[in-house]
Amino acid sequence: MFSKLYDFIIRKHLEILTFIFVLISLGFLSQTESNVVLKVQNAWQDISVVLKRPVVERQRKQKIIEENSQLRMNIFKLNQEVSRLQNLDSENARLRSMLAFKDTSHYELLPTLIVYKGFKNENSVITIDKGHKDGVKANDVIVDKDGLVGKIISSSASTSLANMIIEPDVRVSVRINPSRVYGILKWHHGNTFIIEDIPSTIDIKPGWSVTTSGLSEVYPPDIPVGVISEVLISENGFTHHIEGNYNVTFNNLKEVFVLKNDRK
Amino acid sequence: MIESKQKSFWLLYLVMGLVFILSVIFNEYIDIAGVRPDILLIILIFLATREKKLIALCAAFFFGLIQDVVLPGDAEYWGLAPLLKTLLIFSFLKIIPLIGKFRGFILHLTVFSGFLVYFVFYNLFYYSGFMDPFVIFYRYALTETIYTFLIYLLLNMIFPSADQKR
Repeated sequence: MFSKLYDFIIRKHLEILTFIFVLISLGFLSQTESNVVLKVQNAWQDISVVLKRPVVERQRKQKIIEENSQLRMNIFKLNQEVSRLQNLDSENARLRSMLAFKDTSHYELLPTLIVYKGFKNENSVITIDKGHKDGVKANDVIVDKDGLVGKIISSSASTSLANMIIEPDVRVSVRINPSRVYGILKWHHGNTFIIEDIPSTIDIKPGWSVTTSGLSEVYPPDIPVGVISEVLISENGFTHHIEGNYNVTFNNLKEVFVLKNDRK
Repeated sequence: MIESKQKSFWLLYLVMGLVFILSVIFNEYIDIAGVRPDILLIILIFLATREKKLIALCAAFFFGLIQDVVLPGDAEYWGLAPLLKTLLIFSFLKIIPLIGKFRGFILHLTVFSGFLVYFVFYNLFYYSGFMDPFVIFYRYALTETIYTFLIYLLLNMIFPSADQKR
């Protein structure tokens, strides 16, 4: 009896092992968003950051040199803009005080470097080189100079995993400007997004900007998200099917800012 | 003669080790226009044609786990890579004896088909419901298959298996 079983196991060991591996894999697949996995991934990212540092630092230096020349050109333009805005700001403050408005939030930007960009280039998960030692925590928003990038999903001592908004199941509450219509934005493909379920009676035009609405608990208001490229009528005839391009070029992201809410 | 064979064997595994490190740590530096090869898959095919079946099968499962842990994608799909890699290598191990004396072109065709099936299933699972299946096919599955297969061919030219040398 046992010898037959032993023979069977020896003869069919590949099939048996495959069956066991498949079962284990299916077991893993059935567990969504495992914290243990996230912790292991974070720990590995801490190690790989150290291994990758020389390459990353060299790339960073090269990028800094390129950016430096571009930034010097921009400084002059921005100085002009700043002086104009200072005038407007003081005027705005005066008008707001007249209307008894108050500033309710203040955000601090923490510059970070992307040290890992997921298994696939278009993967939505990135690793940044700042962790809870620097005050980064889950649900902190990340942006780059062009607009919204995503949010932190977990952080270890010196690195954090972040989810970019180009993930299929991420939804962002947005406002279309200047019409101030609210909608839910979702990733389409590549660097494009779609917004649906806005009544077709509302006038919306290509070229209009999309910003965060502030209705979400995670994303603060008025962070630029993208620009509308096409406005179509959906199949039901009652709603718009709006397509647009993200401001941020996710494939070329090297550095991002963590938006730390310094609300006092 | 035996010594030179052994040298080539160790050189292959040294290269494989370096390729493994490249794929695990410096994965994001080897993409072309957003397309990345699955180097672990190539290593598995090499193991399947040169090592014991049991080693290749175990490697498939554990490489899949490594991929999911150290190359974080979406934690929701944890287990997808070991599942598909195990099934692919198991099928490959079953098909190799059938290829028999036609090794060479037929083997490469089988490897290409295997890569394509793997990437189609992986990407369909990953993006299903969010993207047009045709876009998934030509933007992700096909391009990743071609890139991975080209690297496989290159390594195979440098380190042909004993059967191919004959």
